[in-house]
Amino acid sequence: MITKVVGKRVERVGILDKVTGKAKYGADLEIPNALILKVYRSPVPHGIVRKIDTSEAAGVDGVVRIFTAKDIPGENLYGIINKDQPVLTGEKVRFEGDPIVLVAAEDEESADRALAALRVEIDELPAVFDPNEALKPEAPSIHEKGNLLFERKIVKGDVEKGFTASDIVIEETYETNMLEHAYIEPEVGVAYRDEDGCVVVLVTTQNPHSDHAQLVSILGVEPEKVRVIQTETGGGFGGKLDISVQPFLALAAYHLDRPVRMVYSREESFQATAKRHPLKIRMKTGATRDGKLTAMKAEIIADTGAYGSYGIAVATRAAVHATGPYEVPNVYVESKAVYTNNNWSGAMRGFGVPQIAVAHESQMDKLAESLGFDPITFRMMNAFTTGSVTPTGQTLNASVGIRETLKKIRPYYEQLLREADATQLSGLTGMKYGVGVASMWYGIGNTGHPNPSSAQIEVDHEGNVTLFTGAADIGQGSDTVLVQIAAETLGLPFDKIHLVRADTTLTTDAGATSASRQTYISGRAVYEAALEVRKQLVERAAKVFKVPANLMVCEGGFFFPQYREFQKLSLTDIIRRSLVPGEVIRGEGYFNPETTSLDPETGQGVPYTTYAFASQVSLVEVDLVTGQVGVVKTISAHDVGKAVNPANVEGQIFSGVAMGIGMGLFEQFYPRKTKSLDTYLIPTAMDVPEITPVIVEVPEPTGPFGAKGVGEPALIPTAPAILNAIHHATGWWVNRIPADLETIRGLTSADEMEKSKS
Amino acid sequence: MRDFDYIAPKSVEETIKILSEYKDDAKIIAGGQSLLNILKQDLMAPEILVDIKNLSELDYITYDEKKGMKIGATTTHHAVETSPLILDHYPLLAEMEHTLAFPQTRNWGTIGGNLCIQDPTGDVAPILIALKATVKIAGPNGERTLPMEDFSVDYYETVLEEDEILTEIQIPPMAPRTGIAYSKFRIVEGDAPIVGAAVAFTLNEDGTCADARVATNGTAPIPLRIPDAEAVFKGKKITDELIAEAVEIAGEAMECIPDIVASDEYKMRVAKVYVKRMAKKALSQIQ
Repeated sequence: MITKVVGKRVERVGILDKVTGKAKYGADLEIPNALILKVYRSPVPHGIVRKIDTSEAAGVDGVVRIFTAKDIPGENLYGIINKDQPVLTGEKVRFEGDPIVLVAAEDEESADRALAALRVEIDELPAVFDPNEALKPEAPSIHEKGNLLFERKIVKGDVEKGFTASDIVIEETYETNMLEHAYIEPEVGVAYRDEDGCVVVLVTTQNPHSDHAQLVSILGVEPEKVRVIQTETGGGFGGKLDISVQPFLALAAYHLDRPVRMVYSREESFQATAKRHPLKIRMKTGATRDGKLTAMKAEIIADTGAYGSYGIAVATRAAVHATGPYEVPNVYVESKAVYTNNNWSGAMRGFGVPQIAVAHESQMDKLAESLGFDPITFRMMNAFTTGSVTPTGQTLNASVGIRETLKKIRPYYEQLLREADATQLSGLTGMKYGVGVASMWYGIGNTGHPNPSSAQIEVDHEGNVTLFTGAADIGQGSDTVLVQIAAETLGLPFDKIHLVRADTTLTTDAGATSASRQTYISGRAVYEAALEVRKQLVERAAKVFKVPANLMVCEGGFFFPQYREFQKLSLTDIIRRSLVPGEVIRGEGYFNPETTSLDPETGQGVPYTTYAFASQVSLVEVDLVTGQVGVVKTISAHDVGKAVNPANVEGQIFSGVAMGIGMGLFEQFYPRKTKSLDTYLIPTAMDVPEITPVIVEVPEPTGPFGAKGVGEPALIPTAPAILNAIHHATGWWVNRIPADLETIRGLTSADEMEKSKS
Repeated sequence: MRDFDYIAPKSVEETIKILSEYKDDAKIIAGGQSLLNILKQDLMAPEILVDIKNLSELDYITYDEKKGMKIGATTTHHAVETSPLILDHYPLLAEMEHTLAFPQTRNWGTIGGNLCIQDPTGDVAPILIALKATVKIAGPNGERTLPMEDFSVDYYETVLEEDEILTEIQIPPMAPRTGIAYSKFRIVEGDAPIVGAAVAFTLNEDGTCADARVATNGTAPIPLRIPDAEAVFKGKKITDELIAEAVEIAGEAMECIPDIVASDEYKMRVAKVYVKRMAKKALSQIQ
């Protein structure tokens, strides 16, 4: 298919405003007369709130109002999948940072003084920080229903028979790290009541329509009495799917006749918002001598901390993806999400798949080495292909690009092997060089749940074309991609389309910006809306030209009857001749990819319509003296179905590799200890290696122009490729991330230290 | 951050007057690259900030063949990094500055501020110790000068009295046949070092060691000069064995503090390796 806009590196929507500083982020909004909101948070990880004395704080100069749980008019409980989290807790605190009191004051200093003047008495309870401990009967109970939030099983074939039929079985335990998203923009928003009494919340978010639904419930008002508008958003990575400042803003604006503003400091953002679930994974994998996978058994425990958030989704996704992109006839997985008194874990780029990939990709390399295959050959022998059946019993019918991605990285792999050998010979003593491969698969959209998107396109009587979408662009580029899809379908130039986005009054629900779903699902909804508008425009044009509609051509913003291009009329001409003032042409689009819910006992079902695939190869250097690992080069091949905007896809790959380096090598959030970026180190531009993105396009028939998604896939293979490269360099298997200094240093024997006389 | 008053004196003399008046309630701010973070976290809450950033009388770099280098305390890291005089006479200092934090920090941060904040992982002090630098301090009773290694007292604490100000860093000319090296270890570029080491050797004409300096950062509450390790080399021909001996002695002098990033034992091991590497590198410059 020849396309004019889709597949092109068009300039991002709104990019000039961003680079010139004109774009308004939450903290840039100037709301005259706004009060400042601050929250008092629990200083202990587990306890019962005995008494909240606000009298002294209420008397502090500049304090306007103090709110506690009693002031919440609706339901004081929220949660995106299971509702278990109070806006302000009046009874129990479950982690160090649980919000108890909200202060509204004239300025920040008064609010701080009020926080210091609050007297909150908490009877401390024994706390539990290890999910295995939390599952024991004698463990302190964090929620009434117990500490097991959720368990997901996947059963395919007979796993024990599969192991019996194996020539080799490898069993290993893996552990992954708790991570902070560390987006550049901490949580921020403003709120006010408009002339109709509607509470308007302008906020940084990935999920405006879900925010709206939750605020409606918390305030106990009619849906039209709350409006959520997404401000420009400086990154989210899943951390802005849950509500943060939203309920505080809405609550204060609801009660007060003043606009309010709330900005989290970096420290508060660290303490108060979701983290990546750390996983403990026991994985057993079998294969035959000739290299065919026979069986895989996994036990997964995810620490969801004090609240559920996306814990159920993470436990499910980790289970569903636990084999990796390989056909395994016999599978048994048990995956649990468990409450502890740690910071609560939620969504973070990949929902458990980056963690489980560490396990299945390490297993693949261990098996390959034991059986005498190179890592790419072994993966190729087992990789999914059209017709393969997944662990949930789903037959993959289309867009199965995993083998393509492996083929693409093969020459790079061989080149990096030569480079590693050459560098080893000429390099410094005490340095080791190695090459590692990792692959991944990732289901696009919510797991086994409906996740529809909708969009509208309007053409007014002056020929203005407006696309309405509820999809939040948080920097990943959905604005641009959706406008490209609309422009391509309508046969219009890219810059002809005006965009209205992520405002719950003006746009309809497009679902969350998560699960790599906006290009695929909202893109398809936009495509459907555009098809409808195009049809109507062609009909109007046919009337103008007095020819049947099926003889009309629509191209590059012009309409003409077949073979009569010389008569062409622009969109504006057609509109002027066929619409009266006030009349609009409108198209509605809707898409809900086909899924079925997973069987509660066996996990069988169709969790996603389509999957993205990727393979990556990395060259690393290991300093035996310090234990420091550096990534020198990475080549990452991603099957995205169709790259609607190749520059955008590459941007995602660059950022995924960068984020994966932090995840794989040094990022580690210690609950109650990690306070800020002072000790939570993340890679900067200066730490990012040479990255070669390779785009593979195996079209998805249900996707817009064949597109799938790449947002999360970009991250997933990075950490396991690094671990496999460390093994290639040193011979050591590192079964945990991060592979930090002392982990690697601890593996260096005194003997090797002596040899590495540097 | 608490509210504070702000004053920007026009001279060193006026600065000292203000310090004498406000004593403990005053805090000098120059580039503010460390202090602002400390204030934001409420770890310090001065009543008044005395801003010396624009004191041009402290912003200079001069060189005299006999007296050596003089660097005014408010000279920025960027100015040191790019100064032709420093590139000519103490290129290592410029090289270190080039890897100190980020360009933004170097544009604002000052060399004097770096020393006065007394972060024990700081890059500047160990090199200055190895270069035998002295610091000049001005107060109500005049000026005093002391060796760099005597300037720091404890974490975030220097010898400066509450009415004193660091005005100048003085570096003597490099003796002939001197080699000097510094390197640091960190996880990500731009971050503070975990540990670092600076070693300088001056050789006699016969190749024996006339003078040695060994200094480390991140290995104690203050930048550490390790005279016992230096003594190993004096008057002897420097060999791998001698270096190994000095490294062990250096390790004994360290009092590494464990933190969220690394254990004390790890820091000591890595610091020792850096002392060894820097000793070899310094030696290679003169052999």
